[in-house]
Amino acid sequence: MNQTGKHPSKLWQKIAISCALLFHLCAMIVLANGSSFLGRTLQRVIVPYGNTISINTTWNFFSPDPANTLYLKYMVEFFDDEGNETKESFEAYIPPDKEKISMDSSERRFLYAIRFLLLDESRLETVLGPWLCREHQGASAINIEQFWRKVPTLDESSTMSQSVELKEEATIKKLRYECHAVRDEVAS
Amino acid sequence: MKKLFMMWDEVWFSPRPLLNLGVFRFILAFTMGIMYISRQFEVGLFYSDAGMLPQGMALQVLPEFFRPSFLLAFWPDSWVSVVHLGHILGLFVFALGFGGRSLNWILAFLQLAFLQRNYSIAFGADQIGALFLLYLAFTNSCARFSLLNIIKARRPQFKIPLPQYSSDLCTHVGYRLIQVQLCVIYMFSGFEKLKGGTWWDGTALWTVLANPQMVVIDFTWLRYFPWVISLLTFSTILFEIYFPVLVWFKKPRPFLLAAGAAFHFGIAFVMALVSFAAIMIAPYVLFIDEKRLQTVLSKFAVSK
Repeated sequence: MNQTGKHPSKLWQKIAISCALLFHLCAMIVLANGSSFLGRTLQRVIVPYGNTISINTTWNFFSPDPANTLYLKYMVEFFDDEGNETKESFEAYIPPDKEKISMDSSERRFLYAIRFLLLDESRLETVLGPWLCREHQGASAINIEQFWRKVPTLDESSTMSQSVELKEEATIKKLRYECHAVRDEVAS
Repeated sequence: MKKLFMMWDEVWFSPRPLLNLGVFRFILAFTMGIMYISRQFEVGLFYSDAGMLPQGMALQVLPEFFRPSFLLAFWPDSWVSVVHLGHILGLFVFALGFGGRSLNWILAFLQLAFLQRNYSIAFGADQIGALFLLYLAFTNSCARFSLLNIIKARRPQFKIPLPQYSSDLCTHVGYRLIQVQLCVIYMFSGFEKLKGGTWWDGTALWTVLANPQMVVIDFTWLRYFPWVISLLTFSTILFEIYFPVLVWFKKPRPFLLAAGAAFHFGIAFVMALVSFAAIMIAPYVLFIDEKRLQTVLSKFAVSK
């Protein structure tokens, strides 16, 4: 096979591939920092392409700073329309083993999803709330509380004589989600 | 100007070793196949309307800047389990060297479709794997290191008709794109870390190692050796920023690849991110000299 590129058809192939390559390289590099001036300027051209092939991503592993522990506590309530409790309310945590790594790949995916949904309040209302209602059939409302326990800094830990303890729980967000809409949807 | 064109031609259009590509294909597809076996048991939770993210919300949960124009996952909920299983089987078949570009394109499409259907459950390994699969689809990755080749070499009496593969322009470009993509991932991962106070401070890895949700065993005893934490933190940044530049030079390349392998094995051991480590180390094969790789593989009689 002639690799020299002197054959006219080969040359045209190379020119065509080079143009596509330049576009792709531009998308690959600019979208890795998509909020930059270049990213905003070229947005209309490269973002639809980048989003289709999932190249529009910031490669921010453990950055800007590694995440702290994050939990979700939710209380499921069961009341009828007259306000009578039809079933005992209960409380649960995600992850159930609060301070333990999950070794199961699917469980990890689930925890990633919860973390992703917790990042944005609208996702709490449109995805997480309805999902918890669907999971707990007959529930009237879900009280969601997101909180974390910070890892003490290295300086603080160096002075600890005993084992390293995470800091006290701190609530980040609280939300109450009424399940009526989901119940009506399931009923219909 | 002519020199510039010649350089461009050399970088993107000169032939690349198909054996390295074959080994990369095997590691990538096999790792992804293994990774998705566990996901198969939760497809209902992850990818159906009854699960956590109904199809209608799949794109809406993404910020507009990251939202694809359309959803690639075209199948109904009732088919998701079958399609996912097909994806896994396809990955294993492809890992063995069957299917060539056609199967590779299908797998790349399915990979992107599952990724888009529920971004919230995506690992870094899924996203990087999707891009690598996509670049691989341009190449003749099944030409070498395939089961058919190995059987034919060991049992010449079997007259197995082998497909005629050769290296071509698209293969050269795909090969280079995988290498460049790896460099871009490292480079921006390093740059992003420079924005973080704890990375500048040299204590970022402490936040990881002391976080019980992230590590498999207790590493808090490392607080008695804070210099180790700082050394590892700064080494991570230096490696990620300088790898994309230095890996193109022959002399430092072996050291960088060894350092990278140690770095990823470390992450795999400490954080149980084995698939991520395998997917990141897989393209290192593309930086290894073909003859050396051939020598190593021929000891196991799998160099065909």
